[in-house]
Amino acid sequence: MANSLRLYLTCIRSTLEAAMCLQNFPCQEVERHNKPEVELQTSPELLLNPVLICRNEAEKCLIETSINSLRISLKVKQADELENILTKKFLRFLSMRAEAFQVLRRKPVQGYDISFLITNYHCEEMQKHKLIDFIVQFMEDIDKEISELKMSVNTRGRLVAAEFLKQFI
Amino acid sequence: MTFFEKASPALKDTLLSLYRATKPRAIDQRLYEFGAVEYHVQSSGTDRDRVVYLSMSALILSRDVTAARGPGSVVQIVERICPDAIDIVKPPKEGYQLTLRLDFDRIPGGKDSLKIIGEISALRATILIHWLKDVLRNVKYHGIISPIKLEHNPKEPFFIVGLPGKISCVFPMRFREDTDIVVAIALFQGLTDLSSSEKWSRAPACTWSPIPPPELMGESLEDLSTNGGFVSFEISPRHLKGKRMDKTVWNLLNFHTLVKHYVKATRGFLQRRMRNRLNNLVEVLHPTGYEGDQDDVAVEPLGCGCLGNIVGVQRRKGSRSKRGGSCSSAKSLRTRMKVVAGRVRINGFRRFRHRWLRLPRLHSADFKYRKVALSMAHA
Repeated sequence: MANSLRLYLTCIRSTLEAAMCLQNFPCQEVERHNKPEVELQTSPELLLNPVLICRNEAEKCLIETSINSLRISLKVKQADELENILTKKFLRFLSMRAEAFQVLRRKPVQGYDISFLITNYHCEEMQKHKLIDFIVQFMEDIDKEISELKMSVNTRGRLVAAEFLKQFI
Repeated sequence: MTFFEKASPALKDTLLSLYRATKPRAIDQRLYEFGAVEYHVQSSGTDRDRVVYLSMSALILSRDVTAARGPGSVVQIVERICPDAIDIVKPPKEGYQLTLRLDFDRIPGGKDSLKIIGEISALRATILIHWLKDVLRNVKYHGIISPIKLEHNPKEPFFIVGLPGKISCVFPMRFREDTDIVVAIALFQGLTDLSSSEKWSRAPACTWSPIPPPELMGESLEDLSTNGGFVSFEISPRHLKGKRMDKTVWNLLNFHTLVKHYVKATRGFLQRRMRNRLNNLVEVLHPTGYEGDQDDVAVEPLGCGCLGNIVGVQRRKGSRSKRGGSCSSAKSLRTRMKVVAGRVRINGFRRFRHRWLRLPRLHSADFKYRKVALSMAHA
């Protein structure tokens, strides 16, 4: 793993460990309702300052915390048009199957490629360290997957081109 | 490119099924290929002779070529296949460029029949190849000439331009989606890189550019507006010699099809790969993995499965093995009898019965009068 990526992921891991201290908190607006405050944003006293961690201009992570929920938004690097299309396609594929992850948001926050919403219930159901591992692993895997996909598309293109040109010789 | 057959597979199947049928069969079938090619197979089925009419559309290479060379060359090609069994109907049916009358009784039996039907199915490709060969020879002979627009597939035309010592074939590429463009550009990049390398110096030089090449200057704006750019192949005279010419012509005619096929296959590959990756990602959170896409895996029914299909009952695999022994066989027979004699329960039938099958109460007149008399007596 590149050194800069390791630092970036370590920073995110530490921030998540600090931010993921969620507790049950009923909604102050609607009686007998329990809503993620980070999504509602109606009570400023329940929100913490958002943390933005940037690796570079193209890669960043926004962590928004509230008393009962946490929202993590990621922007994945897209160096060229092929990476851009592959990233969009892959993240859309994942968002459409958000129910498999439970913590994945169907629609990303504006300006980001993918968002996660973790509530206190998720922390109770799944273990906190597992959730953090998942987020970090996800970020690593996405980068790896996009570069592998790009390589495979280029390799396929080259192979097909070779087969086509072979017919003329 | 050898994987693109000259013969239309659907047409070949249809003609073979008609040929193998013992009795004349009525048929009126239209087959579509590549979004623009249409075949119409028609047979009345009443004739004593087994006669089939086959019409083809999109049999145009270029307007000039079809007009100048079309009819004569088509007759020659058709006569080469089987002159006794195939006749050209004039004029062709409305909406088609060629109509053939096929007399299956005159087609020789055995392996020759397969060969002839294969050749009939490949007739369109054979004619187009013949015409394109003529065009290339003509361009080669005349040297520099203005672009010729070839529209063997009206939606995907390409241009042939005569240049000093070579022929340039320019393919305008159009795609529906951005993903297709990006995937196809990877192929074009591969073609450009390989053709410029020393190893592939004998292959035609290939270039891709997002803007129209200068050779196409003066062509209509409609032809020059693309979203996938322009791919050009520089065909040298050595590619137009002997057997190589056949391959060159076939490759040029099928280049658009190859690109489409490549894009479709690559999209499928990406989808498969993303699905596998999804499972790996989910496993970090839930060790059992994601089973959302496996809903459509059918439970294999026991027996012929027709009962299960109709009633919607899924029998368990182990259910038969649990029954056994003489005592249980008697019991099972009793149970079966009960099932047969018992009332058949249909979900929702009660509601249906209440709503639609409300029978009027039919009391006898005698009963009615008796009821009235009783009430009067009480009063």
